[in-house]
Amino acid sequence: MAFQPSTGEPLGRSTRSAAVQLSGIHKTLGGTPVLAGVTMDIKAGEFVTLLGPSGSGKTSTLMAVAGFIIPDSGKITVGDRDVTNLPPGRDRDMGIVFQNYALFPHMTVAGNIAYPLRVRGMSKAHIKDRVDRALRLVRLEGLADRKPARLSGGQQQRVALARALVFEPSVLLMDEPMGALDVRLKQELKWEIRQLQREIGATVIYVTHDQNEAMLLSDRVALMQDGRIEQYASPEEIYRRPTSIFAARFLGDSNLIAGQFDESAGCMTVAASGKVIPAAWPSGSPCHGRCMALLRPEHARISAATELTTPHSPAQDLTTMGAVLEEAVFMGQSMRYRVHVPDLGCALDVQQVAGAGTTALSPGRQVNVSWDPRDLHLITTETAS
Amino acid sequence: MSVASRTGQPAASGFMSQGRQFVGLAILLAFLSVFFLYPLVEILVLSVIDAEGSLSLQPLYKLLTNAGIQSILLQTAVTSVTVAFTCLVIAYPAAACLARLEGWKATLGNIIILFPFLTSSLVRTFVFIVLLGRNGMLNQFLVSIGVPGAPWKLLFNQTGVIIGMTYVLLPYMLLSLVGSMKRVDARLIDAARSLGAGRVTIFFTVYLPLTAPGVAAGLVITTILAFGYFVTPALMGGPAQVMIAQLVEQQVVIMFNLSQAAGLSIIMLVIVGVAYAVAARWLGIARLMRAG
Amino acid sequence: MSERKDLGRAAQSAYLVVVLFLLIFPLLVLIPMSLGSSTTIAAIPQQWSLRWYDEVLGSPEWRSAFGWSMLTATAASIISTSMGYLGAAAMVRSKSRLQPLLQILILSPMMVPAVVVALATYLLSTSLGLDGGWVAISIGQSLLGLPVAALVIAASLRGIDETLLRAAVSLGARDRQVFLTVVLPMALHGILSAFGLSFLIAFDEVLIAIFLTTPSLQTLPVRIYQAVTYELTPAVAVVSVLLMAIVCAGMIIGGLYNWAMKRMVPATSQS
Repeated sequence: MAFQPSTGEPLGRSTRSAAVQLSGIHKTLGGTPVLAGVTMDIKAGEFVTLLGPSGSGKTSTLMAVAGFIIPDSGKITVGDRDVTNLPPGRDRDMGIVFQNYALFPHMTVAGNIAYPLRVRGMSKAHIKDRVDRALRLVRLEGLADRKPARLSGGQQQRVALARALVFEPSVLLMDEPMGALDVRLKQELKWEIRQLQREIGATVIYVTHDQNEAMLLSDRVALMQDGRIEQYASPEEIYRRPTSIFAARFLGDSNLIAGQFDESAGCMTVAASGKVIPAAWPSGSPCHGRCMALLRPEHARISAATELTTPHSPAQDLTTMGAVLEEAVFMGQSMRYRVHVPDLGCALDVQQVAGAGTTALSPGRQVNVSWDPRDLHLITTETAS
Repeated sequence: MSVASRTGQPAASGFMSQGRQFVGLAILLAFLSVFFLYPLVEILVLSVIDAEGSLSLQPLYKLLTNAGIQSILLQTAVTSVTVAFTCLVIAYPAAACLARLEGWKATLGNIIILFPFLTSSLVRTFVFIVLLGRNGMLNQFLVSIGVPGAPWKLLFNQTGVIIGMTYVLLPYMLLSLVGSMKRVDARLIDAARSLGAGRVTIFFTVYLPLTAPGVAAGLVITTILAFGYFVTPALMGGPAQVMIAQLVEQQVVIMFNLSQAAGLSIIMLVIVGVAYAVAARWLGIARLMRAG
Repeated sequence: MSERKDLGRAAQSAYLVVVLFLLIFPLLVLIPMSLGSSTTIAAIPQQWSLRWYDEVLGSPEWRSAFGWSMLTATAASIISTSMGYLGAAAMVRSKSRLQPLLQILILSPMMVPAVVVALATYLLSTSLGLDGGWVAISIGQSLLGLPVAALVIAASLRGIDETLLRAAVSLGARDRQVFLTVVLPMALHGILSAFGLSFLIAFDEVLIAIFLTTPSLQTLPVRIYQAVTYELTPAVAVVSVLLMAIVCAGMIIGGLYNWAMKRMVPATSQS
């Protein structure tokens, strides 16, 4: 479902895009801090997602960029312009797609898309030309004269997108644009938005609480909690090397094992059992001491306890432990197991491709659980608690 | 959108920018102060200045202890409460039925209520003067079917005033009741029935309590409107049915006694103010306003 | 049981029909009343004629009374609607702690008995030296319409999602453009209703007009009041029928407008 390249002068590549920088944004509303020092820089043409649970400050950050929230302190620049205290609207040069689209119910689709051009006093012919191109861009050519109330949710979303893009803003802000859509439509639109952004080249700041959306769309994700950015990196980086427990838990499923890291020995003592397991600190992190070890379910594997000789190549120095299988759930593309590991003093979730051999495992059985120590990612808890 | 951004005070989030909104509000407050509050203060001052021109509560005290005025106040109170309850009794079953209607029937019902509501109260009073007269349509009808004692005297007495005011104020009561009855969730009635309640029990334990706010608001509105009413009692009442608003009018137009009129106005304001305060405590201001 | 229930429902429906009939019947009787030829009013005149229509429409007194009422009511409803809009905007969007006080202040002309408002206006006009002027009448009448106008407009402003205003701003609209292209069209129904209602309130107002009337300035209600008190001829029925026709026309226009709006923007919105 690709967008057809538009004919004529494209709405696309010619669009300017600008870098956006936020530094130390603070905002307190009604006595509660909403933004507690948000700092991030967004490159021109980058797609950045603000991801976080509700109340984490992601929409507030977006509204601060849009100018609807004026920060108590801090600075926001777009390109080389300081826009911190600029009123929202024309001077900011940003297109916004609102959560429920905020389409004007008394205007047609074309009227909605024409709106930003009309208020700028553009000539009728010019407006028509631009609106036509915007309609083609979002593939709504036939619906120009409909009222928004007669559109489906997905169509409304595209109108909102076209309206936010038609005046060629250098920055596009999107506030949970898919929050109101059903799962299948979301799936489809995610690809479209991604492709459209590549085509337009505008800088996009996108707010969502859906990690899948964030993973699929973004060049970089800013993970937010309590008005702060927990981690700002590519989706892969955050998934593989989260810098906090929160990040580890929020993006993807996780097993977390508390323990004490010993740098010289290159191993970690599990807090609950006293067992020592091999582990390596991620490069460049100088800390040691109390930590959490993150093991993604898909990085662990289980096998029946009778197969004492490890089926894996001996070159891989796997950590293996005895465990009791508690639950086994068929998930379609994979099997999901929950095993109790006495040596760790806790249960682990294991996800494994549903091969023919593994389905025989049933709850109550003795199994072996093993993982590559390099997949064990350590997060320091020395300062966190 | 999160609560945070909603409560944020952006430069332009309202129907006007904050600066303009302030100017708008200032214009409105100036208008109300000059044309409404200031003359009310004038009334207050007039009412507490005695014959020698000095400040005193004597004039108000004199009015309140005057037997004639006392009886007019009593007559006004009795009439307005009677009218309000008459309206309630007539309107309640009709409103319950109207609230259930849907489609064109509901539209027609609403039109029939709104039409008299929007038509001049003078017109509505006038037509009752004609209909209720000694040779009016109603008496002709009563005589023709041989009702004993007909023709009745229905005009220029208490009966006439009550009939006329009930007719004029009935739409207010109907609108207030229908509003509250529409908000009753029909599933609650079904639930009560499924729990084994009979029709009478359901009415007294579910429907009536749920519509009570509408009943109360309707009673308050009609009573207070009736209390200050002028047209109908003036045109349909006799000398014994003079109500307080007429007395004020007579003081202004015939007697030219403005301080007397001001004193009576203050008495009315206090009575109505207390009634509103009690009602607002009881019902909440918002509901009272919605009903009004 | 169910038979009894049906019977109850039928009785209730019949009762509703009777109540509605009693509400509308007296007004309908005015039509034949206005078509008599004699000087006494009869519900069913012995001889039908348009005599009283000629009398009323040809009478300079009735015509001038109608003219004065149109003037005062138009001026009053313009004031009510514009002040009502300011009040409504403040009531809907202000987050001040003085909000309840403001609300009571705006609605107070409706709570104060009309005769007190009339006396206040009378005193005002004497102290401003507007003795008996139509301007004073208009101002007084506008006070009575203001709360209703404010309530009606506030209801329609509450229906406008604040996000729409932000959207308009974000798309580059200036304050004035937001007002003209979003707020005004979306609140238009409320504003027109407010205008219509405050017009009717002012047009129907008796006491202020009685207090400020002069031989050369008589509004229609004053004229009707006097005619009912002293003359009681079918002329009053004719005027009543004409007034009802105006209300009727207003309701039809309002109804058509509503119907057209519903067709254009169906209620089946997605979100």
